[in-house]
Amino acid sequence: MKYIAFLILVISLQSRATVILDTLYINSGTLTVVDYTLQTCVFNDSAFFKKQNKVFHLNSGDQLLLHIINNDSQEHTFTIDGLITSGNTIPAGGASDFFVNPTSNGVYRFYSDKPYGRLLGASSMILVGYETYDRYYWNLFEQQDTLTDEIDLGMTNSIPLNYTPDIFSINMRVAPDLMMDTLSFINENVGDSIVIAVVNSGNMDHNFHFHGYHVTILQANTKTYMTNWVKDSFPVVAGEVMLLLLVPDQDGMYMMHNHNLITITTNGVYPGGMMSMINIMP
Amino acid sequence: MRKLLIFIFSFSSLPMLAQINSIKLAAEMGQTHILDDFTSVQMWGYGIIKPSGAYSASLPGPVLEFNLGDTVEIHFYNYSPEDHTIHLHGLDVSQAEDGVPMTSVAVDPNDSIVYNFVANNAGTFLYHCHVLTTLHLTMGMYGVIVVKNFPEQNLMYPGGPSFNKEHVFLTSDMDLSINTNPLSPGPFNLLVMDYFMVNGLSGNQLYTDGEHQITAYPGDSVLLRLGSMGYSSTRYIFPAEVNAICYASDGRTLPAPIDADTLIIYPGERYDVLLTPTAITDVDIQVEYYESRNNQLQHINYINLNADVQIAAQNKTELEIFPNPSIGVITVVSNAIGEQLIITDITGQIIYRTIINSDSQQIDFSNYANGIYILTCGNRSKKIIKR
Repeated sequence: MKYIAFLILVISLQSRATVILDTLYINSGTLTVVDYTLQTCVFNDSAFFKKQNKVFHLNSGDQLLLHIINNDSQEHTFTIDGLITSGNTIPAGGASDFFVNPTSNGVYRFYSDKPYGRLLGASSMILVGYETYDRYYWNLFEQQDTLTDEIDLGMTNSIPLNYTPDIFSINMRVAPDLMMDTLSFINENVGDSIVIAVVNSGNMDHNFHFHGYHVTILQANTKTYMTNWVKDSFPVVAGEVMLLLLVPDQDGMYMMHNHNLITITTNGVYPGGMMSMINIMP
Repeated sequence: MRKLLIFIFSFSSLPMLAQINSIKLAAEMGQTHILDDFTSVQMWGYGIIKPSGAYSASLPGPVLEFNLGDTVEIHFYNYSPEDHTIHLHGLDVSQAEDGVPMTSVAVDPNDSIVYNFVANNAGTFLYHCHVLTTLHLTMGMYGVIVVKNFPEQNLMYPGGPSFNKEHVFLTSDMDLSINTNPLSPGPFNLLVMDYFMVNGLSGNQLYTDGEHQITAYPGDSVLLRLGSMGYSSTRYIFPAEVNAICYASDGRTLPAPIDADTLIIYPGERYDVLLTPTAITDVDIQVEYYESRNNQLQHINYINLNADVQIAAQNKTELEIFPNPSIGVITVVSNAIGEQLIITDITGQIIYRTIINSDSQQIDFSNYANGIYILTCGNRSKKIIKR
């Protein structure tokens, strides 16, 4: 730890970047949605289990030194595709330090690449830059009640072909509770510049539709060809990392929802799941 | 003088001859749709109300065409026992016109509403009911809106590439258990699709209908307006010889055109693709449907593209039936002289067979039970309704 801190100090002095120090906890717990109790694993900012993963925002050029404490009884990794992919294991009950040095502005997904963590929701994001924009975060995830139990009990470590999720969430919340989520519920004014960082932490493709507006896709790590496309409906495939720009040109209250209609249900009942609102004032 | 110039400039900058475009659309429930295995299934849908007052809902609903710059009025009449709306998908209308019951208004049974908007972007859009969306879409309440560039209607969008032929293909799917029992549907997360359609048709229906085959010759530019309103994602595979290029999506021009040999369309998306066959050919465009939860291939439909002038002309069967619906005698007009004419009921049982011996012949239907029948001759089929 001392060696890494010294190294960071040298790097930051050379680059004049600000190094943000923070601590993350890998916690396991149960998420209760209607009649379901779902086994869940998340990155929290304290040792107490909270259903939502922590998100980060870094100013352009900033770096992040994370001390990660694994409170879980399972081994995990701290993985960021393209940045941190090896030597990143955190043993059960152990802790490790990770230095995140983003190469450009945009969205970075971090996650546990162990099946237990990946399949139970240990996945979130870092948004770098866009300091002057209004910023929102959508972490998409779906869960199948019985499957989360099987994963928790070590009976399986993969998604079966007959995957039939019951719960479809954004930031681990479902409609109508989702509309209370300040991370995802867009509440701004006409003419504002709004960026939305999107990560699909789930195991199936999702596809979103905006009512009232088109958005510009600033970043898409998987469907890279869609960069700079202006769309009202677009896929967010499993594992996808996206950044959207919305500049509202009219006021009103509009829906934003997944257009795979299976996912706008909770326990099979409509309305629910991945459905929220955008409130734009004059 | 300066004021006059400003006045002239203001006038000239308006879209030429843009106008108020007013249509009447009805919502109906309890209509019937025939699937490719002749299964007759209940559907709900939209239909244009004609000047006579007649209307008939279809799956999908009728293609609604407007011109760029039009001020559009959709007079919507709900002739059904449940609430419905029209969500104008992708047209970025105001909250009041958005067709979402929670934020605008649901139209009560036997009530009506007028949806207003200005068609600000040329391209391909969708419309659908947003009341209990999971159910109402599966039942068939959806369709395509086309906003044509104006006044140059042969261009895809202002300054865009030109085309001389145009087809609209909307993919969708159906879980038969929902359509056969819409009063107690769900749970919706367990839907399993049984039927996979292009413009409401699948399998052989796309070959025998005639209207869904593309006839194109070298030198033609064929605009395909592709949309998806299903639960499955759709993958189009275009043969190399048709040179598929995508120029626009969701009513907006792409930053740069892309090769579209393979094009995946997720529910709610639209793509405008231009085909420019450079040789005489007879090929199929493959339309694959993928399960949304596991990405497994579920079904393949084929859209035929025939660019052989002689074959296309020889194979083209003309078929008109009137009156339809009918209470008795129907007249069949066809150029398939010498070929078999077959009428089947909805179970697929042949109930009438003859040889076409003139370009117009009559068939007495009065002794048959009321219902739906399929008349096939040559490579075309049409639905007959006996009342």
